[in-house]
Amino acid sequence: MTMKRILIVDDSPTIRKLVGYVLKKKGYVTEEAEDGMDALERLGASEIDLVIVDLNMPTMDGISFVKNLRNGYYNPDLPVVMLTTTSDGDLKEEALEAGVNMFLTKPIQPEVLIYKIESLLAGGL
Amino acid sequence: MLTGQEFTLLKDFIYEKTGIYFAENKMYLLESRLANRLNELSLSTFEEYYYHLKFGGSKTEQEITYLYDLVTTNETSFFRNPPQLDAFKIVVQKNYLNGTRPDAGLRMWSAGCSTGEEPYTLAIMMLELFAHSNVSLPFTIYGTDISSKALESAKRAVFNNYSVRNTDKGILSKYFVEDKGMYTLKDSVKKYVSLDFLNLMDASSYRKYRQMDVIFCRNVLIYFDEKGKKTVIDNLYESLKPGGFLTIGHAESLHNISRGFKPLIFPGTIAYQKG
Repeated sequence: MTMKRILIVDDSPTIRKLVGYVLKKKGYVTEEAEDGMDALERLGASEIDLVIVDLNMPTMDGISFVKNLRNGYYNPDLPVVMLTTTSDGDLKEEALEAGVNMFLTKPIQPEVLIYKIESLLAGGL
Repeated sequence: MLTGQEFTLLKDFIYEKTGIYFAENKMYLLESRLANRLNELSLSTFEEYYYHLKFGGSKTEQEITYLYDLVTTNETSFFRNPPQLDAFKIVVQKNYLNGTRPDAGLRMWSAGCSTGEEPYTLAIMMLELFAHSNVSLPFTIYGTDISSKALESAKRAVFNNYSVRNTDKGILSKYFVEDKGMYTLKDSVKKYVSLDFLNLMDASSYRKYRQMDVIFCRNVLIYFDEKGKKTVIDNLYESLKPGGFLTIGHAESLHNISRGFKPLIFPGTIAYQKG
């Protein structure tokens, strides 16, 4: 089985490191980007199987990132998981409409993260 | 040998004139590029060359033209980086061949066109798109470069095997005339391409290049430092029509350089649209 590549998009290096650590331990290959713009450029340069993106980021936030991604000509089935907090109710609606596949609430629980990612990559949920 | 002091003099001079930035670790590169020129001029030190450039009177202008040739790389070929060209095709098909015709035709610009392979590739692609869609529209492709030597070669439009190594055989026989391993581009393609000198750092020289639909500026930003990159990108932004597209090199990025562009993602590449 080839290693699945996951792009972690967050302006916090700590979150990127944490999520990256959990994923690498499970055998995933990870790439990091610090905001939506950086993420789009990375997607343009390498093959990615799944994106984990934070909602709030400078330069280009998570929702604008997903809008740009879905408006483009990239694989429309690329799964996108968005990191949110429990208070982001209204924005979640907007994010779903923009094309987010799933939410993950912060603080992140490693088992939940892995479970959701595995299901998404298997084409489920 | 190029001393540290001479390197500083020369790199600052080049930066001032062109915006091209030689970092400390490029000292050897600069030395090897200038060495031959020193020999030709029978100068024994790089410092003498610096004074020749700076205070050469009437010769200064001419010497700077040589310098432009020496500090740029002319690595290019036809049909380079297919994902970017596929994206170009999609942009043209969706935006211009769908029935809504731009009044003045399509204006495209290959900024940093070197020996011409890129603007000619775009011209061939346009002609092929027309052939396959039975739609056509007027278009002009501008090609500019800082190296006069590269431009002369572009105007000759005679290419070797290496230049056309990624070119489809059908395209080769349709648009080129082959003679002893050299490929001369036909006038039916050349006539769409207008070539001229341009220093990307010089904002005033952009006047001719306004209202562009598409700009290709690939592997050019690598020559500039952060400040230079910003200047060039701002200038290119001004040159685009609202909604126009910019393509940069596949290893280059606009991240932290410009926020005016909207990234549009394609399989294996990204293009930037003026908002």
